[in-house]
Formats: sequence, C-alpha cells, structure tokens
Amino acid sequence: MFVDQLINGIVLGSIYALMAIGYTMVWNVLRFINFAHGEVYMGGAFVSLYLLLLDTPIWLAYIGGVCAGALLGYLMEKMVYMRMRSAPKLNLLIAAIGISIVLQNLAQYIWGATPERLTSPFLSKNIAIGDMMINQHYIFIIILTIVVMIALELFINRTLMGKAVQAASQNINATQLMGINANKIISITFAIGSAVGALAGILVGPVFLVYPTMGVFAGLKGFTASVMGGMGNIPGAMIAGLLLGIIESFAAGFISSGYRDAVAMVILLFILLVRPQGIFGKVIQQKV
Amino acid sequence: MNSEHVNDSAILTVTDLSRTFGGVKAVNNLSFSVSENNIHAIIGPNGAGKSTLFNLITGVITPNQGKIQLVNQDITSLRPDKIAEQGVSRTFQNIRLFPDMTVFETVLIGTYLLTGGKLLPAVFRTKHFRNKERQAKERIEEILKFVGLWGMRHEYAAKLSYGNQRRVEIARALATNPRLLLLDEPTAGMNQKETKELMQLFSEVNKQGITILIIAHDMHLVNTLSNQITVINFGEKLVEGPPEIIQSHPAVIEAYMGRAEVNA
Repeated sequence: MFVDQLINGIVLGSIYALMAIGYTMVWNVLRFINFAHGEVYMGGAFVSLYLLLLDTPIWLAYIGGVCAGALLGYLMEKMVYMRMRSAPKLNLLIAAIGISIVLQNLAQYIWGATPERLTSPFLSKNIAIGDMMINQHYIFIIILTIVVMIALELFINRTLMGKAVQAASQNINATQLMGINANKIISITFAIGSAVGALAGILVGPVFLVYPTMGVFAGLKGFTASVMGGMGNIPGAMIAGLLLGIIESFAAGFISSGYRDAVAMVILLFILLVRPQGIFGKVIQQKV
Repeated sequence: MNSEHVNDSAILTVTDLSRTFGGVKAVNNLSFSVSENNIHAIIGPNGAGKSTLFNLITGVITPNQGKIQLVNQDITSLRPDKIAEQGVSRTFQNIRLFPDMTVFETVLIGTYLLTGGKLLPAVFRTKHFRNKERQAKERIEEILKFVGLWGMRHEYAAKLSYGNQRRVEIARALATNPRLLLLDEPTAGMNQKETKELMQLFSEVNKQGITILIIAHDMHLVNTLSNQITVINFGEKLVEGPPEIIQSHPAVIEAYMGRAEVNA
C-alpha cells in the first residue's frame, strides 16, 4: 500500500513537475503567470490523439503532440503577450485567462467533449519489481521526466543560449544591450516550457484520458508546484512538483481520494501565507 | 541648430535628435559628433538629458525625430541588440549586473555576439562551435585580466565591491567587442582611489582603439581624461570643444554655478 501510493505519487508528481517548469520559465522572462499553460497540456494531448487517429506511428504522434504544444506556446506569445509588453501585468493575466477559455472551447468544437484514451505502447504491460507489479507506462513517465529534467538542466547551465535565458530573467535590459535579441529569448522560453507542458499532457493521456478541460486542474497543480518551488526556480519547481504529487497521493490513499485536490490547494494557501517565496526560493530584499 | 560641419573622422554622428517625455523635451534638437579614438565627454547639470541621450543611442528608447549614425550606417530606432551588434556597448549609471551570475558568467553573456549563441551547434558541439567557444574563453580571460578581475572570476558579481562591480560591467561591455563604449557616470559613488584606477582603465581601453563617450560630473576627471567635451543643458547643446576652452566658458560656468557674479 505504502509503496503503491509512493509510486503513484512519483508518477503524478512527475507530471506536476513537468507542468511547473512551464510556469516558472515564463515567469522568469516575463514576470507573469501564463494561466493558459494548462491548455498547452491539453492541446498537446489532443494533437497526439488526432495523429494516432490518422494512423501515425505512436512515437511520431507523441513527438507531433510535443511540437504542436511548443508551437501553441510560441504563437500565444507572439500573437498576444508580445503585443502587450508595455501593458500592466494584470492585462496579460486577463489575456491568459481569455486564451485559456478560447482554447478549451476550440478543442471542444474540434474534438468534442467526450474523454478519450490516448494509446500507450506500455499501458497493458507490467513490470515486476520484487513482489510488486508496476505498470510500464508509469515507469515510462518517470524515465522521460528524468530525461527532460537533465536535458533542461544541461540547456540552462551548459549552453550559451541557456545562459542568455538566465541573463534575461535577471536583467532583460542589460541582456539586450549585450546584443541578445530579447524577443527571441522569450520565444524560446515559451516554446520549451510549452513543449514540456504538452509532453505532460501526452504522458497523462493514457491514464487520465484526454478532454477539453483536462488542463484546468493540471494547470492549477503545476502552478501550485511552481509557487512551492519558488517562482522562477527551475530545479525548485521540479522538486516541488514531485513533492506535491507524493503528498496528494498519500492524502488520497490514507484519507480519502475525494480530498486529493483539496490537499493541493491547502498546500498552495499555506505556502502563500507562510513562505510566499517558496520552499526553495530566496527572499528578495527590498531596498528602502 | 541644424546639421553642422561634417566630421570626417566621426564614429558617431547625432543629428537634430529630439525626444520628449510628456511635455518635457528631454533631448531637444541635439547635434554633435564623436571622432574616432577620442574620449569624448558629455557634461551638464542633472536632468540635462544625458542619460536619455545614451538610451537613444543604444536603442533603449526611440527618438521623436533626428538621426543617429554609426560611421556611415543609420542606427536610428534599431533594436538594442542590433545596435550592440554594430559595435556600441555601454555601462549604466546604476550598475546593472545579473544578480545570480559569477563574474565569468557575466562576461560570458557579453561574448554571445562572438559565438552567435546558436543552440544546435552547441548541442552537437560542431568543430566550428568548439573553435568559437575556445576563442570566447580566451577573450574572457584576456578581458578579465585586463580589468584586473581574473582572480575573482568565480565570485558572484553582485557581491563584489562597488568599484569592482563597475569593472565587471566594463568587462561585460568589452566582451561584445565594441567600437564605441558609452560610460554613464562610471565613477559616481566611487572613492578617490577607485576613481583614479578607473580613469587609468578607461585610458587603457581607449588605447586599444575603442572610442569612449563618457557622461561625468567630476570636472577633474573630464578635464584630465577627455579630449573633447560637449556641454548640454535642457536637452540642448550649450557648447562644445576641448577641455581648455570649456573650463573657462561663461555659459558652462553659468549652467553649473548659476549666473556668475562678476567681481563679487
């Protein structure tokens, strides 16, 4: 029971971690929360589903979904947020909520509201570890999440473009004056964050099904994890996502599965009240 | 004041430049040119439009009218990164570093133009990329040794002393390989020793063939360092000339001290 819940928690947490990365990366360069990120998660899953209906090989369908997610995030930024660079952040926030509603309805219009299951090559297989049987798709989720985290870490810290993303998040004006195109950096950030978010949706598809509003709660959980990890802190978001998944899973297992979402929201409230800079965030000193 | 005499050796030519903020004419019909290899100072009272001028030259803000030329190229209203690419770099009045980066990383960002910052070559580590990367590393080492920060390269830039933070900013600017370096009050808030050392550094930078345009309040610094001075007030050019002329110019004395009481 305990180990079962732990594994469920890690799987769920992996998804939250992947979602949280998108929120945190966008926060880093634009200092706003892209509330339409949940719809990128949904969009990626739907595109994969659609590609599978067209008899696309499964790997290609997955990759296609990830690319579609990246494109969706990129277009969102180019078509809406970029035009609002000098507007108050509240306007961006409202625009994000608008985009999210439009995309949910668009998905319902195109694909309908009936939940559908995305195929996974692994879902029907189990792996025996000791006397436990673990679904292979779960292992797939965990492995892919680890791969993505390592890749991101390498990108951010080992490539000059990753360094430029960091520089842009610390002082965007000074970064531009070093000959770095800030708009390009913001686009790349959106594309990467969205690709990772779409991947989360695709990975979840075979387990929790695909439907137009699937991104709403996943988005909230990803957001919660990014707040827990300290907004803008990528490793923090990853760890907090995992932690949130595990806590939720234990709450569902040992208290009641009805409280699953409530637990996450209580954690969010608690963090905002007690440690608004997040578990791994650092306090920003205000100079007076 | 319309476009005046043509300066053949000019690296920067500003013509009839204006920029207003609300009703305030921050820069008003300003024309001047900076000769290649000069250390050219911009002086003027607070609020004279000096920093606005720098923001206009570097593309941070766009002018309402007028033209900015770098050698023969029109850079008016280009994006800041494009202007940097053309060889204009700067430091800020209030030092702007990357708070979570080490000295080395900060200067590394400055070499982005050199390596191009492309992702795919970096992932596949192509031969061309590795060469560029090695060149960048060598350049960073050279610059950091030049400004005297090589020993502190692994420290967080924002944790250094004020004078050294300024050096990091200068090193970062140098890493973009500028032809023209804009320094916005680089010695403000520095102690005498730091000021003296920085002045030394500026003239060494200049000796490497980099033209310097410097905003300063410290008249001693301006007089010893620069060979051309433009005085501006209320966004307009008051006078221009070598330090010997400017020092004793009545308009300058008036702008700085108020109207001079003769024989007082």
